[in-house]
Amino acid sequence: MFRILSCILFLCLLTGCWNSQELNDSALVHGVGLDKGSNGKIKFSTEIIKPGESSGGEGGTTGESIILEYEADTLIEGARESIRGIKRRVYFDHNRIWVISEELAKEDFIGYLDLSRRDQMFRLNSYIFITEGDPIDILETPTLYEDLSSTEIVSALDQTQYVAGYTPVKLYDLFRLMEGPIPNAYIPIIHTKEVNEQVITSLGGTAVINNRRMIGKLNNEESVGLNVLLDRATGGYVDVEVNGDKVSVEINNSKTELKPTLQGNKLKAHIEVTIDGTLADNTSKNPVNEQWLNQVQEEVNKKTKRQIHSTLDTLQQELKTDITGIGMETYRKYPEKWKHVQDQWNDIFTKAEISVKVNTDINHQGLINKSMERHNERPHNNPYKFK
Amino acid sequence: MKRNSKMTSILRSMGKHSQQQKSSMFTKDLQQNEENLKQQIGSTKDVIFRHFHISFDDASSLEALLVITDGLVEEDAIRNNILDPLTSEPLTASKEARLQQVENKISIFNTITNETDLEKSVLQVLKGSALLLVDGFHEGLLLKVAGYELRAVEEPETERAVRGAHDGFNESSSINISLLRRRIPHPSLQFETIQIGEYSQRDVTIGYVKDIADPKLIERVRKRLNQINVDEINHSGKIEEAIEDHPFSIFPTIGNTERPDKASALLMEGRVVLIVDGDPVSLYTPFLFLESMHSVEDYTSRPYYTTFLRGLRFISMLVSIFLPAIYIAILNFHKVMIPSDMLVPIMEGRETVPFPLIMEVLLILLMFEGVREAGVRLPQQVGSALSIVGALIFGQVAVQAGIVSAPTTIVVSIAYITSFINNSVTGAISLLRIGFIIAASFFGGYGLIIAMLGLLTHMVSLTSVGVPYMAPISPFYYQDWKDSIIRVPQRWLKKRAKSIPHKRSTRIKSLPKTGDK
Repeated sequence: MFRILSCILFLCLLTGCWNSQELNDSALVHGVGLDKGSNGKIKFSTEIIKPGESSGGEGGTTGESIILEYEADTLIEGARESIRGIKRRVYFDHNRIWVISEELAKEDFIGYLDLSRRDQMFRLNSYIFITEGDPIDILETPTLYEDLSSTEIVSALDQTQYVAGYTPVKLYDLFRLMEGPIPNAYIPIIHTKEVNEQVITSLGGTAVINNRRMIGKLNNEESVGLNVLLDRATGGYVDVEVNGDKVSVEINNSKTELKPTLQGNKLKAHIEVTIDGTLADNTSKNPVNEQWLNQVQEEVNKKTKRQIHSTLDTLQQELKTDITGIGMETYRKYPEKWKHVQDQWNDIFTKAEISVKVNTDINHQGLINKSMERHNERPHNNPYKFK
Repeated sequence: MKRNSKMTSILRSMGKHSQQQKSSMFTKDLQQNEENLKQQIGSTKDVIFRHFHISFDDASSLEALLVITDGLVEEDAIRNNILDPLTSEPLTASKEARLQQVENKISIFNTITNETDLEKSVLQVLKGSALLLVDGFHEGLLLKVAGYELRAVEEPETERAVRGAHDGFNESSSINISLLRRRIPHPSLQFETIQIGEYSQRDVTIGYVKDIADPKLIERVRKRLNQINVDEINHSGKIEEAIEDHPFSIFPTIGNTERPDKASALLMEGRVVLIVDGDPVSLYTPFLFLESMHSVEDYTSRPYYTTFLRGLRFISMLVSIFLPAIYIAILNFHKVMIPSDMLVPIMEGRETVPFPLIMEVLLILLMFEGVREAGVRLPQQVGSALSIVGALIFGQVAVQAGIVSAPTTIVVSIAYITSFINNSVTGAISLLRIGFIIAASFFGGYGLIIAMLGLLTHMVSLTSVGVPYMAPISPFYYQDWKDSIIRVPQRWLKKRAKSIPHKRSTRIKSLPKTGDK
């Protein structure tokens, strides 16, 4: 018994520490950028956490990042090549964002992402973006709060509920779309801009992917329309003009129903959007009453309708690509017929007649009834309260 | 009895010069008896031979010898209850009834045993009795006059309770027994005493409630105690190790308490309590694993708060055992599991540390254990110096110097502090923690799970004097879950716990209706 036990004990020692890797011998990648390189190669850039000096008890850690760039044929080659420069083993466990340059995206870029699913090291819940410039610019942006610009971008995406214009897409979303019945996808566009002499990253617009490559993009307005179409606009606001005054409505809840009807190769679709909102901002002097609220609701309806139509117009006329979810809905409704129309779906979508109906319901007017108006107000010390 | 022959052999070895069998009985000759006694006892200083004369009304007198052990008897009792009645005035008695008369004279004050066996008498003398020998009689009188210095009945330091009784066991088993008897004045509460240890002759008392406790359990305990054949038993720990089922396990399978209120509650659950003379700590069995998460005050506070506290103790036990191991496994093997926001601080801390993570963790852990062990043994005046070294040098300077990292220190400290919440298994927790750290550093999460399976397998195989240690978890007794990690109101605990074998299952027959007006 003792002999067996001691054998087991020593066998444990013989194994060494299988797969063990000290944290201070590893480099943890937080963001990956892919750009088009020379000679058909890709430029592979990584943002790596650079641990600063031990802060002791005083707190105030100043995280920095290392950004390195390599040219390689494939992603795995880039990952392995980069060890030369990083001088530590690279881990992609914590990779939170993928930034792909527009130039690369316009080619068949999905193939390069194969590794991200094949290797267990990558996170499929990392976000993917397309940038017009160099991905390195995004990764190199100085941060506002967090240690790393990747982390900051990710935390921004968690706040998308307050802005309807963001369409965050995770890696698995992208793969799911590409492998779905319609191999089209959308990826948000990220760019840098300068505010008060400070470079910040900002999301704006959506890239449209058709058949494994980017074929165009939607601007900010159209992205909002896309969000509404995809029923992903759970928040945000709409500002409209009522009788020349600006009024904002905050969206509490929004629901989109797509009702496609397929007859032969002709598609008719009816889109019904229901918006629950709160009156957020009223710059006019109008007292808030039912009649006026109806006017506001009407304007919101019109504006949302316009947004959806502009999105649809761009998609139908310009890009000839369906990323709206109408295709998906049709597939669900007509699974048998779908096989015949699948190949020509983008054509069918382009020629489709689409009608939009928006119902807005402002069911809350905020905390005050009237806007500030001097002569409406009673003195605070009015002795004749019941007059 | 078997034990008698054992005693004989002791005494034979004690008196090296004794003339074999001849001396084992008292003779009629007092001189001869004294000689024999001195041979048996040797020249030890603390046994006092006191000669005096008992005079009779016919002007004759008898020589008498009183043998006592210094310090073990009450001097007042000797003077007032033995010497005074016998010597103050002459006794009236015929020659034949003289011993009887002596006995009568002093029996008012003392418990008397007639003893003809010299060796037994010597033992009793050494345990605090007085031996009175009268010339011309071959019988000795053993008088119970034991009296020695004792600690008062105080609240035990280790098991304090804010609400509840404030008395505790002390070193005298007769006082301890009386404390229990006062709480359960029912004839069913039984005490049996046996002596253990050839040299120490320690009184070990088995206490149980006959109507409730399982006779098989009592018999098992009794049998094991009878099988102990050692030179010396000096405290309850030796009894514990001698009778437990798994002496090689790191888990204690015999419980202990210094509180009579807890002991009496245990007796009423059907357990067996062992009181060891000379040790304020009494043992009890069966002891279940979940009890290490219970506290004396659990039943005096509200059930909800008790449930919360027990949950806290349970979680803290898990944290204490597993946290450093999980930390190592995650940092060295499963980096994907580090929360992203914590990544930067952890990496920054680790960057300057020259040691591998396992070394760092073990270094801090062993230093903590060292500081604790030093603190337990140190006198209070020096204690403050220790806390300065422990807290200041260790907590701050080591981190600032980059020898250890702040996150590791925090993780180990949390594990260390939480280990004290479950007082009775602190030792086992400390060892397990180190074991899991090593397993995790070799094999990561995989090793952690394998080690955990091994631990659970071991734990479910444990028994406490034949009763499953992990009950009511395994074997699963649903009804006992009412008083395990949670505690339901007393009203719902009508039956005794199934985990502890018992003969009488109903504990609450009826209670007043709630809200009855």
